[in-house]
Amino acid sequence: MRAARFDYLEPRDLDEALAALSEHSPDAVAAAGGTDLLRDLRQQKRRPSLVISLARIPVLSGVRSADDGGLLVGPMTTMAALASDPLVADLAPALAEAAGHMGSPQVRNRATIGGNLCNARPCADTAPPVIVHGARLQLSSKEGIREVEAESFITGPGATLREPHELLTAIQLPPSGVAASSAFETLTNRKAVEITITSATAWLELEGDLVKGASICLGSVGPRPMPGPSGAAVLLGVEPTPERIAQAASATVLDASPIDDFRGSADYRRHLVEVLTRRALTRALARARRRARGGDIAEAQGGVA
Amino acid sequence: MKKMLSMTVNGAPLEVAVHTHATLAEVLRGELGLTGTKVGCGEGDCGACTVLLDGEPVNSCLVLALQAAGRTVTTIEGLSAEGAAAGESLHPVQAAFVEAGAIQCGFCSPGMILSAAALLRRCPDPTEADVRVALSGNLCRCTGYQKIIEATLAAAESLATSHAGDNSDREGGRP
Ligand SMILES: Cc1cc2nc3c(=O)[nH]c(=O)nc-3n(C[C@H](O)[C@H](O)[C@H](O)COP(=O)(O)OP(=O)(O)OC[C@H]3O[C@@H](n4cnc5c(N)ncnc54)[C@H](O)[C@@H]3O)c2cc1C
Ligand code: FES
Ligand code: FES
Repeated sequence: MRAARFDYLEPRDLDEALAALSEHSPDAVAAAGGTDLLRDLRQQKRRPSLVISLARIPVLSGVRSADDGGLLVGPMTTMAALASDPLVADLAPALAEAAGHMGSPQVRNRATIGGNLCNARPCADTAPPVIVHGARLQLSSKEGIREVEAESFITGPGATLREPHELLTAIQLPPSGVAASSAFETLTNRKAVEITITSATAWLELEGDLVKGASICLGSVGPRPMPGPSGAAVLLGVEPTPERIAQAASATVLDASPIDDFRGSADYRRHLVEVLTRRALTRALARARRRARGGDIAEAQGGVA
Repeated sequence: MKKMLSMTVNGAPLEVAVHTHATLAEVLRGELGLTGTKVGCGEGDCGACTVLLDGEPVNSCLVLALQAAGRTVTTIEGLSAEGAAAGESLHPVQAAFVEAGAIQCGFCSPGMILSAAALLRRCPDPTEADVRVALSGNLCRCTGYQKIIEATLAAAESLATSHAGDNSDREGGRP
């Protein structure tokens, strides 16, 4: 099938894009890398009258440090760029891992994080990392800017809090504590060009030997990225021994509501939730400890890392 | 609806009127006659349509042609032309594929070779694991992959030999 007819715009700045979007909404759609959109257009799942490319709006791409020490990720940043960005690797390693795993090299060179979040599939691989890091998403329209929690942004398969006349214009990751880190674990049938059967992402922050903060998020086991509060609750305030981590992983199974499909049965997915959560927590913990040691060394040397 | 598209294809700047909904693969094959680019799945799964966009491999079936405005596209024809410019009939990666028997029906070969060539520009001395990752978005229904991987590693060696003592030949690589 061919795409239905549409007009095409490639604005050079954000205001122009927002004005066009607002004028033609809800019949206008944004195009980022197009890896989801082109399929929808060709299958005529979407029949916009106007496609607005975001590719030439410089403020929308790239990763930079925010004034508060966090990270500002532009929605047009590609998976390839995220996977090789040193700031992301340091402050949000789960995000670098998720971006580096998805699709194929060709897809990663086009696919953007903004497209992944706005397309809002339950298997969207960058959503759980963004959620466990407590990110806030900036939504802009002609009328102004608002912010929403990444955790509440995706409301169901393909559905988000974004209004049709709004664009996602920034993903804001808060500063990372010196003793905090994250990890992403996934299982797919093949290593490339596969949709995630189940993923688990964990973020941990330590204070001395105890867990000060914990967050878990699961992919492909519910209508949207599924937070894992039951597992996180097991770890808060205690020492993260291997036994506690195993307990937290099995508690997390309660937070999943998987379905049977051709990629795997619901039972198999519940099993994967336990295994992948345990692995993600274990690796996040090792990274957090490493960062904590790095911070101690920097302090001992009289500087701040 | 048609719009004018300016881009550089295989080193030559050109302008062509394209449908707004046309993919880059459709324009390369249909409007420009560059049929070396193949279309298998049309959905990003097989990599047969791989071309280099500003030097990076992409699935041209998933790029709107208009998204290539102002950018540089390299197809398999462009790679052959680089070989010809160096006085050979083929680019060294193509030659290595022929030599290793990495081509059977040939449908995947243009995409495979462009993915391999992009890897070798970015990483002239890859490990086998690097090659497997770089080619993971290209499916081959014939060869079983092993010879393709061997060909890519052999191409790395032959490029290293031909570049020894010649640092000027960095054209098309990353800055
Ligand atoms: C072969 C293949 C393999 C894939 N593998 C994976 C995988 O392993 N994991 C995974 O998660 N995904 C995968 N995908 C899906 C897809 O590549 C990702 O979801 C990708 O990140 C989408 O980004 P994009 O830039 O291509 O978005 P587009 O297709 O351009 O846009 C997607 C949607 O988001 C909207 N949009 C984009 N940017 C914005 C913005 N800034 N503001 C508002 N709306 C916006 C668009 O209007 C559109 O509705 C795969 C796709 C293919 C073709
Ligand atoms: S034809 Fe483009 S990936 Fe298969
Ligand atoms: S040689 Fe036939 S598909 Fe690869």
